[in-house]
Amino acid sequence: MARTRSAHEIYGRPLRRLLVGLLCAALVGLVLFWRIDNPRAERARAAVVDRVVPEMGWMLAPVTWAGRLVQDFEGYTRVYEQNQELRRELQRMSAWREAAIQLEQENARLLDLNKVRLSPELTYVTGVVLTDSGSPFRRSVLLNVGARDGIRDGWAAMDGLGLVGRIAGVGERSARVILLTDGASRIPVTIQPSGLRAVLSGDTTAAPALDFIEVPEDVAAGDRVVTSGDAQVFPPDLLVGQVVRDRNGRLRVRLAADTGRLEYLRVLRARPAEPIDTPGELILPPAPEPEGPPIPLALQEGG
Amino acid sequence: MMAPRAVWGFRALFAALALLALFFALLPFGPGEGGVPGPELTFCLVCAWVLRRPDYVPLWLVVPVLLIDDALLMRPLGLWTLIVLVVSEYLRRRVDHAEALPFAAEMAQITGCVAVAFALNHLALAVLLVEAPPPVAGQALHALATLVFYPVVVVLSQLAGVRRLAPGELDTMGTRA
Repeated sequence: MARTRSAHEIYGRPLRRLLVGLLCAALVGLVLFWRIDNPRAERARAAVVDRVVPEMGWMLAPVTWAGRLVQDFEGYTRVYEQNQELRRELQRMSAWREAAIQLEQENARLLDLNKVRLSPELTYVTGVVLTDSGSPFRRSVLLNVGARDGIRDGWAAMDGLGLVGRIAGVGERSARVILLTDGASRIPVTIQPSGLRAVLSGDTTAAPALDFIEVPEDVAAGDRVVTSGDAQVFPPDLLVGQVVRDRNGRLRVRLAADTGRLEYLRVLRARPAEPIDTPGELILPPAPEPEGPPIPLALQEGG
Repeated sequence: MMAPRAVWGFRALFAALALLALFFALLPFGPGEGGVPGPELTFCLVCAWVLRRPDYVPLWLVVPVLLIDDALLMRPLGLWTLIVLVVSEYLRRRVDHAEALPFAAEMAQITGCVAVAFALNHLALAVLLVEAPPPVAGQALHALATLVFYPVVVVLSQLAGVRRLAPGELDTMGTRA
């Protein structure tokens, strides 16, 4: 026992120190790799997430359900008022529903008359939110749809009402959505009715800020904000939210989507419009036969 | 000497607790917008256990757990792992000298470690030119939350049976007679 002990003292400590040093060096290397070849590192991360998170799905779903139940519990205290409110709202909505159905039928008829081909951008894939980013300084969620379902990087994700974010990182069975509120999110938007362009930049608060507005005086609180379709980041005219002014007088956007409680997201299939980058070609009559004496046979064979 | 089986049990418990913390961090309850960022529980767990029973949290267990955390929590790969590894090694060295450390002294030590760890993290993000580094105020709150939760983690760990060795006891590595 004493012998092994001393052997441990003699060889163990320096060996351990060496191992720790090597481990530290390897981790420094990993950080540098992450920084230098970021796309590859993020793909590796997406692969890890893809392996781990869908396996936890059976565990995540019931706990999430229970958590939501607890969140809803405060609502029970005023369930009666809520019920009345909902009933009134439902009445108003059913009137709207009638109108919507009539309009839909009319629209279908008109489209049929016009032989309009709807843009493929209007199709979508719906996914369930599996997890949060988990970190207090990032705003992203993980969906249970991935490359298997044809999801690509950069596509827009919406909840039922408004834009939520953008796909960034796709695994085989999962895809990460960077929310508009994330600190790294920058989206070109249009403010209606003024038609001004701006950039919506997230800063991890609930309401992302509007930057680079040319004439901020023309923007009023309550204006609608939609995607502009600039730079082909997103299809144009997706609803984002409403302009609000914060305490410091900065223009921000209250999102139409409820980013606090995301359950289902639809990912819009975006196919970038093919750019027309050549001028039309002149349509000429076929070239006439060359004039003059026929070319000598010897020359023809030589050439 | 303690039976190795019990040591393996505690190692498994450590892994399970770390994964549980990760699991609850990942639950989609909406990011706590405007609220106080939650504590870094895995950090507390590693520090508390290293100071009590270093043989329960060997390197080969801590590093993979932290790497999984890094990958799933969208942090820079390996950076936080490296920082926690350095902190835990520092504490591991100190543990032999800190025989009967009062809790206040331990708390002071941990406060220093947390401050250094978060400062290093922020500095590294700045040096690496990571776009949109997290706000300093938010980071400070995060560090503070970690400190507030450290005693809780310590008490729960003690209840689970992670205690300092009494004088005269041996741990599995045969050290500290």
